Amino acid sequence: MLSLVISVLIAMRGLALADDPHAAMRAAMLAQIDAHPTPATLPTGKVVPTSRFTGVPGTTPNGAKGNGNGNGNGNGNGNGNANGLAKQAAAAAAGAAGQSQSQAAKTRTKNHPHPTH
Amino acid sequence: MRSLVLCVLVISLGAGGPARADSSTTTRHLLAGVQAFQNGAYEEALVELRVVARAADAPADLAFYLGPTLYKLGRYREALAVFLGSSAAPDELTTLYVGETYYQLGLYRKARVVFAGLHARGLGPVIDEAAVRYVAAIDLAYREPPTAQAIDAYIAQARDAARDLAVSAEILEEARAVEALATARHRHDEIAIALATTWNAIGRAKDTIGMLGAKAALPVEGTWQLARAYRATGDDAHARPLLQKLVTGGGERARDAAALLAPPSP
Repeated sequence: MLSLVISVLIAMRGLALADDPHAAMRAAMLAQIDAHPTPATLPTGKVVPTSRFTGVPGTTPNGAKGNGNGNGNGNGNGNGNANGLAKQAAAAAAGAAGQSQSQAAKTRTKNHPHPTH
Repeated sequence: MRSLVLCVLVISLGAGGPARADSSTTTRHLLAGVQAFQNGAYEEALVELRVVARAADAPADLAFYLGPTLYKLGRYREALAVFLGSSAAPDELTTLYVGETYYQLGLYRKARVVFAGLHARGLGPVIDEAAVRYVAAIDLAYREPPTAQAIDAYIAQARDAARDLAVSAEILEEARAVEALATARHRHDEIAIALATTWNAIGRAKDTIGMLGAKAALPVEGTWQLARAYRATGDDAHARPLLQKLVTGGGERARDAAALLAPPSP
């Protein structure tokens, strides 16, 4: 009789877990941890832009071509590059702001296609 | 005995009640996504979770589901963006996936901080042993000081990720941490200024002040970013002298500084 009670309890717990996404996800995440890391290697090569299709950023593994580009940008251009990178960051920031403004404008237009003045 | 069994059944049914999700469409998609994740069908999981993300009643901790799914698909930058953008406090398991995402992106200094933190918390054998292995793998890679090429590569990665400023900031932070371990300074100011610019753009002005505020001498762009950060936090007492210095200096940011000093037009 006791075993029957235990079986029923286990079955009930299983059912509850199946309906509880958080608990089920926790169990799956724990079971699928990548517990054994591949060796860490510092990047030395050219960064390949993120693939639009796979979303996977690539770094050429210590490629000669990559090294050439990296050094060319990095060495001997203190101020010029400092401004360049900062400007790029600023431009990206401005771009992001512009994009959100554009989106907001689109939303406004969608909500009020015929503005009343 | 029969009444005892009935009693236990009633209690267990009652206990299971609150944990059960309701049967709304969003919850069904969420459950379908989790089930797909359990089965290793990550593309399918992502489709379901994207539906959940678009729903008005999407759970606040969606990153808990979406981040690991993107990670499993190898879409590490997107996974990091999801984790960074989440307002829900991450639990230890999510934190582990954040660490693994950093690791896969090659942001090892960031990953090390996460894994060392998890190890210090002593979270059971599975998480703890994994964290120890990751820390060991990172320390092995850093037996020798990082090269200038490694720093260049991180800067290039940050540029490549400039579309997502939060991710770009993480990569620049990594570049800064790596540069600090190098035997000689390499693009030190450039990294700091780019990081300050990015932090200011994503509302992390306090971090900019923390990084640049204590520096005795800054290049023009660094002074400008610091002044902007002070202004953003409402600290006009610190912002004003920096802006006046930029105006007096007549350099590249003189006009911007003057505009920021001018009283707002009515």
